[in-house]
Amino acid sequence: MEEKTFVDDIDRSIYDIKNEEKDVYRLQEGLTSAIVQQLSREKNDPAWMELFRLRSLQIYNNMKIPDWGPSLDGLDIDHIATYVRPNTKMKRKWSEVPEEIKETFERLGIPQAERKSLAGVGAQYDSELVYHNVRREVAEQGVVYTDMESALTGEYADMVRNHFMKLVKPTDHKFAALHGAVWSGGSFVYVPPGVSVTIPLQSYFRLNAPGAGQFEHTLIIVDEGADLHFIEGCSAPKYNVANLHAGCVELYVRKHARLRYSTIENWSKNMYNLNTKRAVVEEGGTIEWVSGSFGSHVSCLYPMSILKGRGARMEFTGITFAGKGQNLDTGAKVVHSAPETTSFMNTRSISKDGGISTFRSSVVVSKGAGKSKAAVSCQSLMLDSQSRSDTIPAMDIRTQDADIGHEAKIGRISDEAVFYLMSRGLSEEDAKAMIVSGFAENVSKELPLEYAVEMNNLIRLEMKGSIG
Amino acid sequence: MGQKLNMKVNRLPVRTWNWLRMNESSLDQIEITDSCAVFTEGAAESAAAGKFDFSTIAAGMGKDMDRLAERGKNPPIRLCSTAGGKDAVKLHFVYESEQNSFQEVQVLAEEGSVLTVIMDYTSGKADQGLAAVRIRLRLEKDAKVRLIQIQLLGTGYAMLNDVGISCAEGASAEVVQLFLGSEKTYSGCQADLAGRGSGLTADIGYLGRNEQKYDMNYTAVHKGVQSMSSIRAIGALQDRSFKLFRGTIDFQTGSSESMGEEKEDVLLLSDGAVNQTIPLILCGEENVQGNHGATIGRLDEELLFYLCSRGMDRESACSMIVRARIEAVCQKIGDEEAQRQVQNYLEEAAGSGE
Repeated sequence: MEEKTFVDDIDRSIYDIKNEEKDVYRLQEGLTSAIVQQLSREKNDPAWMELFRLRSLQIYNNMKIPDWGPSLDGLDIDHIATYVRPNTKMKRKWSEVPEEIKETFERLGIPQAERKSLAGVGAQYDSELVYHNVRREVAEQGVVYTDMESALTGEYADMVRNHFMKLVKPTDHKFAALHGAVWSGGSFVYVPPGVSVTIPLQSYFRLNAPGAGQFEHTLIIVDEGADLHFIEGCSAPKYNVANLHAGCVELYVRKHARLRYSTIENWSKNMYNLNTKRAVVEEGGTIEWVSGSFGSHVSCLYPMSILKGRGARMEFTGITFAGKGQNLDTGAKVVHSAPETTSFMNTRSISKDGGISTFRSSVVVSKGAGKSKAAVSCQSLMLDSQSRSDTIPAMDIRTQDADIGHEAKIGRISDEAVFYLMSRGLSEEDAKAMIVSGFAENVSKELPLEYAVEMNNLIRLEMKGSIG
Repeated sequence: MGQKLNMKVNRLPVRTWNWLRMNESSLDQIEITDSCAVFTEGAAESAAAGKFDFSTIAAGMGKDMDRLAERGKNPPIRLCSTAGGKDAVKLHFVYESEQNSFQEVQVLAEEGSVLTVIMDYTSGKADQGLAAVRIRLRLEKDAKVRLIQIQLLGTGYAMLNDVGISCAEGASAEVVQLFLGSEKTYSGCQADLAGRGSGLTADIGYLGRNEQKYDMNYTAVHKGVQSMSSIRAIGALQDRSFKLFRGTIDFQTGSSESMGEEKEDVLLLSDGAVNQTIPLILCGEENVQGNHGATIGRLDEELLFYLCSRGMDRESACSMIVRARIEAVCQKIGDEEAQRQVQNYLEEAAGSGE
């Protein structure tokens, strides 16, 4: 009998540490207009935001659960607390963050990463940010990196109001409407024209409360000719009840600007991750998505790019690792609506131990997008026959003057590759481990060194002693 | 007169975003009022096929075709190739204007038999109507069937062409389809590759002109070990034509050592043309190989330049390149008379400037 590669589940010991809920403010479970109004009062929303929330709730109530994608039957919004506030205000110094929360983030390596390789950090714990800071030299360049609540009422209030949920409208889908109704936390970033932020900013989202939802909103505007790398990380301990993440990311990339948005998602396996991310890119601008999906029970995540200006570019690089009990439906969407725009999607997925991985994409090239180019490449690795791996790529092309290429491959670890590596002196175990690790290289090589190392460690951890 | 039918056809095996409008297609107010004339050449129809329940064979357009079949005015045409035999049958479907018909065809290929079925659909050039045909084929052990379908209907016709295939161990089906006529063509094909070493090869060629619409759904369901599928579609879209191609390779658990390949090549010749493509691979088995690829784009400028440098004007060069794509599928027909029929149709269409 042929031996099979076995890859262990991700070691989650660091992520699974739970803090007891002490002195936290927790809104009643469920979703009613009274709950939304109470949330709005708790957050001291401006009047327009309270109205916006209530309108979003109406839309939510009138929309159906999508009839495609993974089953959401295990998610009951009547049992989700939409707002859980830790017993602290947002701090500018780590030393002032309550000890227990600080320890959680220290275990996750956030303060260390800030010291070593980040220009700024935002750390959200349940529904609110507990820490936010940006390096002085970056702030002196005019870069704004702050929590959404402060941005909503501060100097940039008009800018926020003009952009908030304009790209992802509450009518987009049921969970965008939900987000509009109960959003809380998240970051606002503005990079002025011509400013290049040479080291990344990072937001880290931690959901500690069982049966709760996290609905952070991230709004980034990279002005003309500016450059930014933004990193997003997320994790949660595992509970026996469903948790929900329905965040929203809106990215505005102005003329000739560049934004790289990297995500390492490692939610716990009771999480429904129904996140929405969208970017609009103007003339000559570039959006680069780097995405690693490792956690969650169910994930539906398809960052969308609208290439609105001539010569706008999009690159999406992603890896999805679906293990036992996971149904990860990931991919990307791109709309070419201007001439000479280009897009490239390059993804890998690994399914094991009954995990389901689906790559879902759409490439739309509209009539006015002459001389555009789009390429999609997706590869899937199946490690056993209890798992599933599906590929669902759609293309809608409405101009003759475009070059569109698509390729997809699905299969197992190649015997020839194992044989070749063994002929070079590697054991079979090492050869297989190397192939699986190498499979993820498309993502790890796009991350800053520290994060690439962390991601590779995460994958190697699965492999250690488990091949044979 | 029966009630008109509203149908959903060509459903994707797995749904995706509804805003793409690719999950299925709707046919509204469909009515069957007539029988159609079918002329048979070659082996006579056989009652032997009648002993099997063909309703268990799923076809590509989906279950709503059963509702349409209930309204058919013609009895099913039954064909059978006997064990070890070698047969060829031609079915000429000749439609008149204003006809709305449904015809069921059932084919039994007994063990080790070799059968070629050539079906052509013709009508007057500007005729209107609805031509609905469903063919279901049961291939027993080691049977080989070639199914050739050539659609040359008038510009006002709508065609529903549905194919369902069931393959036992070692059986293989080769499907060659050319869609050139009619205003709207809905085409579905599903092959159930249940037997060890069974196979499907499908080659589809189409040419979209004026307002022509093509809506297709092809699925290879791999159940048997070492089963093989290859689905290749090639075509060109001109003017304001529209094409939606759904192709699925479905590796079910147990289909180990199977291989599936899907390839689409589309030439876009007008900014008014719309091309939609959705090639799925569904995989519940570890030890398989599945690939799909799609190339969608304009004419190769270097090739055009070369042809123009040889004295051709751009328009003639374009038309030659388009013709070459159709010819590539036409070559697979393997029947001179049918090939000539296609060539005559193309020449006539080119001559009339359609």
